[in-house]
Amino acid sequence: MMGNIPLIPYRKNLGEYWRDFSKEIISLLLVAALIVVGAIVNQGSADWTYLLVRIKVASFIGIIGLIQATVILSGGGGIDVSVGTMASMGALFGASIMQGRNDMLVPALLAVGAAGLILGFVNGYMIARLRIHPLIQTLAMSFVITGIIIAYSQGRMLLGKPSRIVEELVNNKIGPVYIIILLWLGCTLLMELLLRRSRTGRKLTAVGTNEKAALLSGINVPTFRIGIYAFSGLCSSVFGILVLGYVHTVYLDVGNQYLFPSVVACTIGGVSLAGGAGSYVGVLGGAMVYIFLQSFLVTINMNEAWRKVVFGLILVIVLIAYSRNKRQR
Amino acid sequence: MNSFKSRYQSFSRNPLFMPLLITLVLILINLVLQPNFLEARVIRLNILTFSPLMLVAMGQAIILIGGNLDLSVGFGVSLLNCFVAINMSLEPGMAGHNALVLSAGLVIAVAMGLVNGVIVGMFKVPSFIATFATSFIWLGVAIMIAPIPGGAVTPQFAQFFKASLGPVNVMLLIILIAMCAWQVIRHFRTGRYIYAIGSSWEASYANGIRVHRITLASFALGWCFVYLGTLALTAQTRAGDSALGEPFALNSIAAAVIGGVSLAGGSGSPVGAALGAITLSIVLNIIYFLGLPTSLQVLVRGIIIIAALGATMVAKNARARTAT
Repeated sequence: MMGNIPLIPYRKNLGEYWRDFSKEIISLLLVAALIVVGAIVNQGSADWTYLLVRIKVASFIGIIGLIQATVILSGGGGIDVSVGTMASMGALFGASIMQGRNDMLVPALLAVGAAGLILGFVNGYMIARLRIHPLIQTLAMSFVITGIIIAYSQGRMLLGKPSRIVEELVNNKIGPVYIIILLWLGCTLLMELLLRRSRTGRKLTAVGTNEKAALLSGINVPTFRIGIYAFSGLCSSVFGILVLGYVHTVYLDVGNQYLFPSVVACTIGGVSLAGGAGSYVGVLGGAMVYIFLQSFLVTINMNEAWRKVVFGLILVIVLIAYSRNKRQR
Repeated sequence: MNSFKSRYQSFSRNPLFMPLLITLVLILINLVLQPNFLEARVIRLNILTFSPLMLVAMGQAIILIGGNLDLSVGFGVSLLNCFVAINMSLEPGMAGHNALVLSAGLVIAVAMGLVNGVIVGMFKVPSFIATFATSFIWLGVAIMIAPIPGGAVTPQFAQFFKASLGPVNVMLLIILIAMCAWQVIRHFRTGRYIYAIGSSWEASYANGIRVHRITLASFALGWCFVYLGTLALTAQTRAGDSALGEPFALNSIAAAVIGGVSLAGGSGSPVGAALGAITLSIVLNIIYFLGLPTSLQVLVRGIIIIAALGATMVAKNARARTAT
């Protein structure tokens, strides 16, 4: 149905542009402000090499944020708190299959992807068919995945390495920037384009905005949601292989640290937890704010406890500034 | 016969039916695997072990019924635990001081609940992310109070929960009183309004309920239970540790949901949440007594939790279908 109707050209006025892109603009300004103030306090923090490394760290959060944002956009209280353990599982399986060999990269990707796809499908089935709340289902799934990881490793020291290709992808540069950063930007733009222009993207917005209306207009909402969670499982376990390329050695909870940043990046980036509203470009901004806020707090020599308090306070302020208009769960 | 059938049907439609069934089945399995399960000593030990999660889950349930959720109870437990353990004095003759510390802890707990309530209720930030943000603040403060695990509680405080009043253990008595307290509150206006704002915020607002105040009340009440849970935990660990509370955040929500509390708000009861907490905890017992290899324990626990969730939801969905 969508796409067949020609879009009526409509010129937005300035206010509407602000309404649509305010969160992206705010996050960009925030990042700029954090860098400038950080540079005033500590000259070294504005060094290009240092900034580039920070952006590289942000790219990981940005990529997992894209996956998380897709789930959140699908609405129904959608959230996937198993992405962290999925990534751990991907890194673990990937390392033990690849053992540093390039020719094993494809089998590793297939095996890891299949595992993630199946577990993600189970998530989606339980959420869409049995109507278990996504938070609870994916939480329980993360217990199961941790269980799989422990059962697989049997408490042994884990051996295995990423293949050279993966390491080069993460650590090498094309020209002045890391390949992973380009990959991140590319993925973000592609996803944004798909969200705005493709049939699936429009469906995602429709399902997230109003489930009933989507159902009545002929979208099979449960099946679509199952697909979203399966996609999330697939991508976040493959994401584990990227993480592996970054950390080189594998340990049991290597990917778990990416769970909460992924949610924070979405929130700061203006993705509404009620679903339907938000953009992938916003997530890009959110990931940058997250990383630069953390490094700023380190730059001004704040101790760990205060860093947590200030981080929490800033998050609360940002949230209050964002959520003035509408009550959401 | 017919009346028995209809009575069974009406009971099986009760939201507490499935949680109760699951708990009973698990207790039965535990009994088979561990013959001394019904010994007074073992029962007391189990009650003491289960009680922190039961109480925190009951608090979480009240917040859930009001239509919100609180991810910050985890590090909230950490903060309160550190506060109590660090400030308690072991010197003799400091009973007054310690009583002051314990009451100050309650005030802090309620204040933390109110902060969450203001951000969620007044500023309308989604509770999931708002309480996620405040949990960082609680953790930071907990680390400030106790940079390294330490502090202590008086032996009297620790013994208090283990003691028995007649045949009944004090801890069990506290839990029962807490349950009864909620059964009383839910029949008062505040209690009914908490269910009302949970099932429809807009309708409650339209009917003149002061929704903001009731949201605040649900958070404040919930955090009283969280504080009780913290005290039960502190009596066992006898020290303050900022890392202690973390699992409570998600476990308490999982316990409440297994106990039939809806994450959409407006239905369920803390009693169910307490049953859910027993389920979550007893699974660990069963796995231990099954003699499974250590490497499989986490996996089996996860699968049992998903099965329990599935059963609860299947029962709930069936109820929803027959109701319409």
